[in-house]
Formats: sequence, C-alpha cells, structure tokens
Amino acid sequence: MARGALADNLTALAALAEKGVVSGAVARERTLPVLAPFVDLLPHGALQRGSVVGCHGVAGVSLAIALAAGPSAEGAWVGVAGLPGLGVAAAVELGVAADRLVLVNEPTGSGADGTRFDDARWAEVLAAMIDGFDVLVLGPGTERVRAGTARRLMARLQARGAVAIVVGAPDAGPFGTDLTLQADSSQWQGLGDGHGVARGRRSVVQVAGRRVPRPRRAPLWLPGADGCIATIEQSHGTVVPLRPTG
Amino acid sequence: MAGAHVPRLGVLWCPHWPVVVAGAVAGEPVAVVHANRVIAHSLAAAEAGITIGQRRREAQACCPSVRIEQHDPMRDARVFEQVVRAVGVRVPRLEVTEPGLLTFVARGPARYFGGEAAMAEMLVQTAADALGGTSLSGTSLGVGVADGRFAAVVAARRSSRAGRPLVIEAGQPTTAEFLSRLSVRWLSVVAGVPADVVHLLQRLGMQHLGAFAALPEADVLARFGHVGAFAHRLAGGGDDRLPGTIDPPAGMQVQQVFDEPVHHSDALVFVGRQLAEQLVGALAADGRVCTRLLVTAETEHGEQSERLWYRSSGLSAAAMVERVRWQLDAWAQHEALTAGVMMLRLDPIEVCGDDGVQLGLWGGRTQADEWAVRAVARLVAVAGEQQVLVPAAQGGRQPHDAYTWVPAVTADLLEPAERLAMPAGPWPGRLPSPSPALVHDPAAPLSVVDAAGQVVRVTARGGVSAPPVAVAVGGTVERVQSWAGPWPVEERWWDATRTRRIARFQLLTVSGRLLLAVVERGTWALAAEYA
Repeated sequence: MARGALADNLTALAALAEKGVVSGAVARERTLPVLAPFVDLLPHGALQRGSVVGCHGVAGVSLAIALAAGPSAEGAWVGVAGLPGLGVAAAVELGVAADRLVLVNEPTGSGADGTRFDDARWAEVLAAMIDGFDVLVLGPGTERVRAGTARRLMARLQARGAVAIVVGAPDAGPFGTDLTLQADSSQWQGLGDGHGVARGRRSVVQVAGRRVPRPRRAPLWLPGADGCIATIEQSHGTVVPLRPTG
Repeated sequence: MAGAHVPRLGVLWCPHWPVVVAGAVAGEPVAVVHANRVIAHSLAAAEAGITIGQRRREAQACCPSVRIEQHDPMRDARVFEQVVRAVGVRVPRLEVTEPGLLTFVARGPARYFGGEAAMAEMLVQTAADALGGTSLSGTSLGVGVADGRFAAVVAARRSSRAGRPLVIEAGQPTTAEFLSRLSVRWLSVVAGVPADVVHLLQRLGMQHLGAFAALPEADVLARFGHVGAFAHRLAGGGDDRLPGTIDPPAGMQVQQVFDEPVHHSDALVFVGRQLAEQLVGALAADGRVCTRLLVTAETEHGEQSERLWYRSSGLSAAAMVERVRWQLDAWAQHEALTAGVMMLRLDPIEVCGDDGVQLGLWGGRTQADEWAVRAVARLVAVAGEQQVLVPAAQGGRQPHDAYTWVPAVTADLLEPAERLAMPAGPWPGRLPSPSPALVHDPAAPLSVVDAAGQVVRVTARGGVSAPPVAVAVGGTVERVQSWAGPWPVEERWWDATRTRRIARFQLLTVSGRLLLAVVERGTWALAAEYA
C-alpha cells in the first residue's frame, strides 16, 4: 500500500519535472536533440548535457550510434574512443554525419604501433575530447581508465556540458551512468536456413536510470531495412510492465 | 647598428638527425616521413632523388628500395640527449633548438678554450665521442660560429658538408659577405621564411642572398611587407630576432612547488601542462608568445635539470608540454635520480609579438566546429598523429572498404566534401543495408564447423560442403541459429597480384549475435559484426 503511494508520488514528480519545473528555454540549452524513436523513451525527450548514458545488450553499439546520430545531425561533433572497429557505413546509415566524426584509436601495443595508453594518457585524451566534442562514444577500450580519473573526467564533462555514451557490458567501465539503455531480445528478420539476407533487427530497448522512476521500454527497428532506426508500431496496445505486488 | 646587438652564437648540427636515430647505415636510403611528407632523408636517399617535402609515394617512386620510417620526435630527443649532456659539460646554457641542433652563446666558452676555432674543434670531438659508435650515415657533425642565429646555423650546416668547423669573423660586413654567395633558399630552410616568398625572389632573378641584401630596405618593405623586411635583414647579416622580440618583464615565470616529491614523469607533465597553459594565457593577454623558454626541474636532493628551448614561431602550450616531456624523460633516463621532483618551473626568456590567426567574420563555421578543430589538434599532440582518425570514403564491396579511416592531420576537417564523396559505383556484390556496426580490419580469426565437426568448405559451384552448425570466435563456441550465403565476390580479377576470390556468409548465433564471415582459400575469418 505504502509502496504504491510512493511510486505514484514519484511518477507525479517526474511528470512535473517533465512539464514545467525546468523552463523550456533552459531545458533546450541543457539538452541535445535525439532521433524521433528516442523522444518518448528518454526523460525530457532529449539527452541531458553533462550526463553519462550507458548502452548495453546485443545491440549496444547500434544503440549508441543511433543516440549520437540526433545531436550529430544538428551540428554536434561526435568523438569516438576505445571502439576501434566502429563501422562508418552503419553510422552514416543510422544518421551520424561523417564529416563531424572523429575516432581516437589506441595503439595495440604490438610491433611498431606504439605503446597502449596509460591512465594519464587516457585522461588527457578524454579531457581533450570533452573540451572539443558535444558527444563522446566510449567503447570497451576505455574500461581501463581508473575510477578516480573517470570521476574527474565526469566532473569536467558536466562543466563543459558534453554527453558521454558508454558502450559495453553493464557496470564494466569506470564511468557511472545516469541513464542506461538496454537493447535485448533481438530478433533478426530476413535470415533463413541457408537463404535470405538480414534485413533488420527487432529489439526491445529498455531505459532505466535515476531520473526514470519506472523503466520505459519500446520495441525498435535497430537497425531497420534501410539501416535507420525506427519505432515498431504496436498492433495490440502498449506493453505494460509488471508491477511488484505486496 | 646591427653588429653591436647581434649575439655571437655557436651552433652544433647533427645532420639528418631523424635518419641517424632511425639507424641508417652509410649508403642506405632512408627517409623519415611525418604526416605523409618526407622530413628527413639520408645521403643515399638524396642521391636517388628524394627531397624534403615529398609525399611518401613520390619518395618510393624515386627510390623503390628506400626504407620509410615514421617521425618520432620523442625518440629523436631522447637519443640526442647524450650529445646534449656531453656538450653541456663544456658549454653552459645550452639551447636545444630541435633534436639534432644545439645553440649556445659562444663568447664565454671561446675565451675559456682559447679561441673560437679551438672551441669548435673541441665540440666536434666531444659530440663525436658522445655519439660513440652511432653511425652518422656517411655525414659529419657540423659546428658553426657566427653573428646571429641565422648565420650560425647556416655556417654549421655548411661546415657539416665541408667536414671541418666554420667560424665566421665577427662583424656585420663579414657575416654579410659569407651569406652573399649562398642561395636564397637558406631563408626558408633555416629561418622559416615562407617558401613562396623565397620562390618569388628566385623568379625575380635573385638567386643569392647577396643580390637580395643589395636591394634598398624601404623598397623590400614596400614590395614584400614585414616578412620580406625580416628576410632582408637576415640576408644582410643583421639582427635575426623576430620583430617585436623583447625580454619579458620579470615575474612572468610560473612554477609549481610540490608538497610531496613526485616520482612519476606523467604527473609532472600534467602539471607542466597546467603551467604552460597558465604561461601562454598570461602572455596572450599581452598579445605575446614565448619564443625561448627555460624549463627547470629540481629534486628533493637538489639535483637540477635546466634546459633552454627555442622555437622561432613561438611555443604553444602543447609545444611547451612536449619539451617538458622530452626534458624530463631524458633526465630520468640518463641520471640516476635519488629523489622525487619537488619543483617545476617554466621561465620565458624571450617573447615576441603574436601575429595570431584572425578567423573570418562570417562563413560556414560554427562555434562547435572551431572547438572540434582545436580539440583535434590537441588530441594529435596528446595521442599522436596516427591515432586520431577521421573517415574518408573510398568505395568497395567489403564492409571495411566503403569507408576508411585516415589521420586527421592529413584531412581538411572543415572542407570534408572531397574526402567523403563516395566514388561512383555501382559495387556489384555489395551487401544491402543495414551495414555492420563493428568492422574487424584485419579480419579476426573464426572457425565454422558442420554437424560432423568438419570445417565448412565452399564448393567450386558456390555451395557449401554442409550447413554450418557451430561457430568458434574469440574463445567461445556458439551454435548457429540461422545463416545465409555464400555470396561470392571476385575482385580485381584483372590484376594477378591483387585479385581476391572470397565468399561471404551471415551467421546468426543462438545468443543473437549476427556475424559477417568471409571465406578465402578455405580459411574462415570474421569480417564484421552487426552489434
């Protein structure tokens, strides 16, 4: 009984915060736009500047790129670190502007390639990226950054108003996330037993985090047949998450 | 007027230093490239026609046997430190202009060693001993003593060719006479005068510095502006400090005294960055930039490292940090330090007016673009040129073919149209979208087996020996849920050396991973993943 009332209050507070507590102008300045399928999923329908967003699950990389595509289309620069194999063709299909995409590639540490970045080097690299780019996509390569360094970097991120999108296993990296997006139950369409070709992936994206009192979820094409992200229209009503009882 | 004020300088020049560090032996063609351009080459390479500023490909076309080495200023500085230390014992207040080039005030040491010629001989011997067995790839060390930096550097480089030290008598007339017979190209090679100005002088018929120096000063200023006037002063053996060079007011130095001794050089460099930014900011407030910087570090036990650094175009914060790192690394490597560092100080010795760069008032650039371009420059300084990449379209059938990553320093970030113009297709055999989000280049090892545990083969008729059942990638084995393929591609069948016959598969595992696998000559590999 008591728990239900609390949850209702939290929901009401969240609704208030979304409607009027933060004025529209300030909210716009403090947010970065996202692609249409994310508008209903994210709190305020946008990415909060200074926040860290985690993207997990089998479709984590596509999810991160799709999140970065919204700001990128509006003129923001996207810096990628620790994700050496990022597919540019996929990023372009998802809506990232290739002319505002920069990748920092860590040396592999073998042969003439140079030594791998140590913690201080990572700190400098990420600090420079935070200063220069609005959106950072941080892959598993950045998981070796120490927790203390990561905290300092996140403070800088908040001061500068950039957004970090972290890809990888949940809780693997040193960056504490404000918001997590989990892309699970992926179903590839178009692939048969020795015939066909993958045409798209149905994936259910679940959003959770501090500002999200109840996890929200939506089925998305991630990516769809043309490589874009799209909402899957529901034919049988909305999915209602199970409520805890007792 | 000039003669009295121009300092008497000595210069020690190790020719082709980056090539020497790269381990070139006499007669071996070696070229060191930086951002795809040749910045240094060995004598043998020069004989084959390789010149500074050439593209890597052009150099390889001139001399197919040339060994190409990447530029590594860190390594150059580290190896040069042995020379610096040996010479530093004899000559105080050394200034490392760049790895391979030392400058010092000649007056004191010349008196001590009994004349400039004797000092020069002694320095050649000292430096040669310090280098020990290091092969100078067929060249010899050069020492030049002359009035002013320009004449001294030119003298040192000439002396390296002649094989004996070169001392130019003091006084403006003798300096001018020494320079008069030399090519005007020295102006751009040594003094940083823009190459197009020098080229223009040559097209106007002035091949030698003497001819240029003979022009009236006022006419040169009227025709070539301040750059020309500066070059003219150099050619005439005059004061070669940049216009507006002054000694900064006292108290501009910045230093950090640590509460706890610092043992880690990275931590010191980090502090050095803060100090450098502070110093550059303070100077910039006056519209000035530091050209000569004294970096001092001191340990708890009083061991001290002091170095002068010079850059004619002014030291940016990044350049200062780079020099701090060179100095600290060399110090820690060559001296067994007994304690941690307690103090780090940056002291501007010489500053001059900052010409700066004025951005256009309007245009397509936004604030975000400016920030990003600046961040890229910073990233290159921090992470290295080969590490900061931007996409470029190249077209192709494989997932890693459509776009490639190129170093950001070689690309124009604000004019990307040419870089991202996809070459006209069609690319028959290209997989339809969606494209894989993770591309493995080079392809990762992969093994695909059928129900009997045999590796699946692609038959000559484009079929499979048996349906794939399990796939092993990165140490895990997963069952295949569904699959499609093989899609054969035969690329460049007209070129016997570059031709490829491959077959591609999409494999969906039970855990939901969709892999793009390729088979080439019976070997499976993971080309990309739809992550």
